[in-house]
Amino acid sequence: MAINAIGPVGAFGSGYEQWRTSLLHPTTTAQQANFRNLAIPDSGFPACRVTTEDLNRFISRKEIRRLDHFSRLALLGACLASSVHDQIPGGRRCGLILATAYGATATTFSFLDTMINDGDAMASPTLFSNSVHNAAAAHIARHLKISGPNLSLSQPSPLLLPMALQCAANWLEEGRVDQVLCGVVDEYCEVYGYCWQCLQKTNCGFTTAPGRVAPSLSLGEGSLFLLLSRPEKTTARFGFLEKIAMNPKSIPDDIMLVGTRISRGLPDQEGPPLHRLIDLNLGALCGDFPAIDAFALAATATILAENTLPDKLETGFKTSAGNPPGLIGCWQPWEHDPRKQLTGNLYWVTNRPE
Amino acid sequence: MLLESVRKNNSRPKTSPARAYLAGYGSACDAWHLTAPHPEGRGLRQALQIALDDAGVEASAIAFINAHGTGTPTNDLIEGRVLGELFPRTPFFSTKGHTGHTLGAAGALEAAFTVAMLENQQIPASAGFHEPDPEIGHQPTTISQNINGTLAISQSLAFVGNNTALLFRRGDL
Repeated sequence: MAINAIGPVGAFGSGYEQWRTSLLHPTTTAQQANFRNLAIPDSGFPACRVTTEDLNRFISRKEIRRLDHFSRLALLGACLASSVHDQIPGGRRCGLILATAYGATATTFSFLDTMINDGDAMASPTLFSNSVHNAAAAHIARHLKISGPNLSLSQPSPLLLPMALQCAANWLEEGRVDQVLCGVVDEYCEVYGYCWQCLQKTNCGFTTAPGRVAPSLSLGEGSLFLLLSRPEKTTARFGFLEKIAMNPKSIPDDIMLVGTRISRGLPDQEGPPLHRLIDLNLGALCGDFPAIDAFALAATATILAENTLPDKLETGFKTSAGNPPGLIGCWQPWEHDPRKQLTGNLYWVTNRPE
Repeated sequence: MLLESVRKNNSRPKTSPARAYLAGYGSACDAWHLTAPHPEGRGLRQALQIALDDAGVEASAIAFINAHGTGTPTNDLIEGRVLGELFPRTPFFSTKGHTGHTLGAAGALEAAFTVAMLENQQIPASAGFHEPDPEIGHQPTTISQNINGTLAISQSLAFVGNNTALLFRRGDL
């Protein structure tokens, strides 16, 4: 698939330019703020939050007044990915896929609170409509007039991103659509923050699951959309996504890999050798959250498109010329599993279509 | 449902007979309103046409349609009108009167019903339906009846204007 545009939204800012600068020339880490934890009074912890003010560049405040934060995150990412390509997506020949691990959690819990606190009669209809799992995709479809197939995937699983991308590839290959706007979104909410903190400190009745590495980064939120099409031209702004492999049998020895999870504390012996892997530590840019896997893939495409590696790489693969090769793998290990050496997702991004 | 791939030359990879084949499907979004369907059923028409094209069949070849049929005024008005225009002689019904609306499971459950009805060559009455709505001008089945055909559609219309039509062909049993 050709990657024609990237629409990133995170604590680093919004839009490709801010993303590119933060990724390739990092100067400071993301702005963090302490947020109150409902269950643990006076125990604020850092979370990388995102503002969606830039959405007003695309849509009037009046039109989005009833959208919740999750939908705004999603809509901003979709608008950004739709605004930079010469062929604006939309109409019946464009598909939309929105993937999320947890969905509009803040809205969902708020909706439940209105019922629990004040009874069914006082349940908020606005909170209800935004809590429906495919509401964000509907907002995007309505505002961008995308009337092709519309799919929302909700699953906290490492299969989420490969499933979304494979579905986009299928639609394109079957000729159902000519473009797919494919994105991943997740938001911060206090309940998620509470669970996150429990996993970090294991002091709230939770214990870290066997084989699971406790999170060590700040919690974040964000969205990232890719505008995809069939590889009909010889060039694409962000290269071509050639391979989507879950649990690959092997990884070629000479391929350069980009990854994120080493900084999450996975053991060194897991996955490919570290000297071949550039660990981007995206958590420093935007915190950690399920959608971060899509940012790693976008980072791979960005490195390829800009033909340069990020500054301040302390470890990892470097070519003799200091530039990346024409084919880069993106490696995203799953949770620690000592029985398998290559448990993870592998994507190949290249500037040379087959 | 247990699904298996069918080779491009239409020979199945295994010798066991199939109960049905998914001959085609269509999916489209109204891109119109968060809770209301498009007043002309734009996304549903599009999904149905894509499903027919995908299967390479005409609307007149469809033996019956398992409609979304929630029994709500807005859904039934739009869905009924679209079916009346595109499939004027095709019997349709809703099984939600028998099961209730099973929400996320409804599409899969009704697809299974559709396969079973193709196997048995029989379709049910629309439970709970009594009085035709003159605004729709087209009404679902009121009695169980035999059918004679090999193709059927099961359609689902979701909140936010998502429309999907599954087109099944009778299997080998």
